[in-house]
Amino acid sequence: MIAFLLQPIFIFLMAILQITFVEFFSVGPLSIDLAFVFVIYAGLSFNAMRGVLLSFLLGFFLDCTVSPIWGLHMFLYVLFFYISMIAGTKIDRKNNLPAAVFTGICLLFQGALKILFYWLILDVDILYTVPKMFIPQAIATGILSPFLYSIFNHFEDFFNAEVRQPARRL
Amino acid sequence: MLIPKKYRPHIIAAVFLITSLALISYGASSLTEPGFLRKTVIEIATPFTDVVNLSFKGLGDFWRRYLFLVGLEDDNRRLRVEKTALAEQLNNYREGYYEGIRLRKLLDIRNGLPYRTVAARVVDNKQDSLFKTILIDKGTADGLSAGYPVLSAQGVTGRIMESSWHSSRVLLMIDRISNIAAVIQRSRTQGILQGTGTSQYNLKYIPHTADVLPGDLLLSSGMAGVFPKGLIIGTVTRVEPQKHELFKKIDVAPSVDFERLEEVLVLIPGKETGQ
Repeated sequence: MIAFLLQPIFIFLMAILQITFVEFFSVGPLSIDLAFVFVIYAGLSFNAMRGVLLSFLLGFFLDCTVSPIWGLHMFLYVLFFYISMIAGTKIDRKNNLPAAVFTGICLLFQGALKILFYWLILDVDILYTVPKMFIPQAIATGILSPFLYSIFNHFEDFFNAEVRQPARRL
Repeated sequence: MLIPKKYRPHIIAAVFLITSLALISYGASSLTEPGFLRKTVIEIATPFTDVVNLSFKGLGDFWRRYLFLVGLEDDNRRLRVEKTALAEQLNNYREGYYEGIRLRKLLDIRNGLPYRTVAARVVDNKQDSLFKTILIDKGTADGLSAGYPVLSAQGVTGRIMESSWHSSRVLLMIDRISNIAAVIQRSRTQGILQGTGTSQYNLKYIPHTADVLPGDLLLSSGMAGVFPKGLIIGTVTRVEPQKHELFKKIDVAPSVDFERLEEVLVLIPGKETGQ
């Protein structure tokens, strides 16, 4: 019960960390999307209800603090949680290479969706950021994702995640 | 439950996705004003962000200042070279500034004299014990000749001993063989000022009855015809009556600092500017 109550706080702190982490530890265009890696991790590890709630909440906190489009992160994080959850039947997160490649590709797709939403809602073209930001970020985050997954594994009990066999997920 | 367990995750995700899209749609219609919920989260998040930012900043500063010192030595060396170059540049500017001030003073003197003048730079100021002379960078090519009076911004300096085409040697007023007709400004008492070879002059041929006091200003009298009348020569520092002599012994401090001469003005007699 206590863990259940603490989980939103943990997610809130992760959002704070994402806001500050990206700023301080980004080297040029190479920044890490820690929150997004957590969403992918949740998709590969957590059950649907818990995972979708935490992803939604993480997106909510980021939307509140940094997003110019209200609801964008909520939508993207739930979407990619869902995609990860489905892909989890094929990908074992403990296998580093597929997990890293999957994370990188998801991040690229997230970038593409952000470009689309910025264009649709704000009428702003941020296509130029693809080579400058999204591709380097996808590569850097993909490479570091196995390491980040191993850190999230330490909190597995806290999240009470069910580590399921891919075949039994759905 | 009505929904089969198999489809439950998809339904949950779909519900949240639709909710998110609805929120995006709602947010797009009110882009300018954040709602109460959003404001509350921002208010709560700000102190946390500050704390984390400060921690990362401290960590970053520690890393940059104490650990990540690659290139620091090169930077240090480069900055030292730059500092030296800038100091040199600053010194040049400062020199130019002071030279400008000195030349302005010379110009003021020049404007007040009814003579044609030639400004010259002192190129050698080694005053050995035998002769007190300086070398200037103007000579006969500039119209200078032996015997011409030389002034500086502070007053009478000397006269030209010899000239070549592009340089001249100036016998300073403090040399033993220098003499100039002088007048005490206050009492108009006249005498002959002679160099002593040291940093002072002697005012000679002043009778005991003459009114001379320490502090009196001494000017050129213009009697010998070499120096124009009224140029500052120095200040009386000591007046000593000598019982068995006809004249007083009077010491005079030069108005010119001969050790620091850098620019002088040579007067060309007989070539009045008509002022």
